[in-house]
Amino acid sequence: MTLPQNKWVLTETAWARLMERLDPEEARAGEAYEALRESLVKFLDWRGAHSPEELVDEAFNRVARKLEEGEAIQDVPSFCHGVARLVYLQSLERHEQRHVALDEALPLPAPIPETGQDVRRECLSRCLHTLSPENRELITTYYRDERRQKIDTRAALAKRWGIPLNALRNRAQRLRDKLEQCIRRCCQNFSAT
Amino acid sequence: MKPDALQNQLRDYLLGTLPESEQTALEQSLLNDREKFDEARAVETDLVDRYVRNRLSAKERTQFERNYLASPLHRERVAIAEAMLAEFDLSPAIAEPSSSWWQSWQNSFRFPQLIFSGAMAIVLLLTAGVVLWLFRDRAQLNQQMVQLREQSRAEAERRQQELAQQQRQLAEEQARSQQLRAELDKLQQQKEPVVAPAVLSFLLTPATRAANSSPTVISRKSRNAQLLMELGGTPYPGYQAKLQTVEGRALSDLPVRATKDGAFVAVVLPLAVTPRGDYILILNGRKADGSAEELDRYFFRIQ
Repeated sequence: MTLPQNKWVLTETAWARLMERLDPEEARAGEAYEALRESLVKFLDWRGAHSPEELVDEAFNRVARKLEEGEAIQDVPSFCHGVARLVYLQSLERHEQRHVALDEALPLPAPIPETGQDVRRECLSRCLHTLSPENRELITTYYRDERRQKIDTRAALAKRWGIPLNALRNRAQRLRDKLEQCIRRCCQNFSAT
Repeated sequence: MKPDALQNQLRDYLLGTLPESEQTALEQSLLNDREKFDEARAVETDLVDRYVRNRLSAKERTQFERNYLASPLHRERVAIAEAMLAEFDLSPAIAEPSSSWWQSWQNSFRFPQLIFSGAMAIVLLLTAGVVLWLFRDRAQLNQQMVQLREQSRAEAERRQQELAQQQRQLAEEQARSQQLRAELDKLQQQKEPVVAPAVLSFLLTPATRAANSSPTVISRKSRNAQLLMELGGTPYPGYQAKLQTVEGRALSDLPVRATKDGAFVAVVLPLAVTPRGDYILILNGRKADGSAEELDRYFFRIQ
């Protein structure tokens, strides 16, 4: 995603001020920055941002600029979160505008084209085989549609793995995230070829 | 906050129905609380799965499409979920593990007799097949062992022959080496006159004066040795030297030459033809009438 060109460029002074506000001690400020950046990227990724890292960098730039301009900010991490959220919403708006413009120019295909689903199914098959048999069984069983039996099935799974239900849910979710990433990469490779 | 309340709040957030004021607070807590974030991911997955399986109410579905599907990445996530769930729902259910091996064993006896007999017959046939296969395999192994032994013996013989040949070659080489050495020695001996070393001179002490001292030792480092003997008293017109072993066996007469000042006489002893041993040199003075008079005896050793 290309962000709009901002005339303001991050200066050394602005950066130093941002870091100082995160923590007066230099090493701890670096750690605080990394932790905050990681959580914001993760959050924006979860919200469905296309380029979360780019958006978070833009958010930090804006906060640093505010600080350099002398704006009084009480809680810098919370402020960063607010700005990151704003940057994300703006990116969505820009995307929608571009989408509308394209809609007007060309007839758009269906949101999820059938050919795309074929590729996804192929990628899913490949990616499932990158998992160990145990993990493959876990994710398949955990997310299978069994309506009323679902609770019993998940309880039996947790018992078999010897872990609490919560831990099982997190493990299944991590596997699903991993699988989803694999499928996404695979689909990109397909479209590239 | 109770788990259900949190899940409802997260659901509302994802559907875009949570008030703005609560959204910010919730997002803050998600950023700072990893467990809560995991909960949010699970609620999101559940919501996506319900949407794909068409289990959302019409209102929820509209909210979901308007809010959640606003993101292209979310649309992609839903598409992937469609593929995943279609695959997972088609996969066979995992059979529950049996309670114990004992029950399994007991259950095996509940088969009808016919099935049991048939199974036993198959097992017997399989066993017989395995035994036959083992016999055949063993015979093949024996044959292979015999072949290996023969090969090993042939190899040992070949090595022995090679060793004998090497020994013969070594003996030939040694003989040749000895022959060459002998030829070299011979050549060196032939060369010696040409490159004869300097004559070494030794001053002999008369036996009468050297009774208590060790005899002069002459080394065979040179071809000849010049033996000097000091004269005393009246000089003689001529001198004579006789060489003999200490056992008294006469060897030869040696020509004697007097120095110009007449103080010494010298005898040249050919060391090359004089073996190692102890010798006596008898010096005689020859008078004018031809008779000889013993002047002194000298002991020396050649080594």
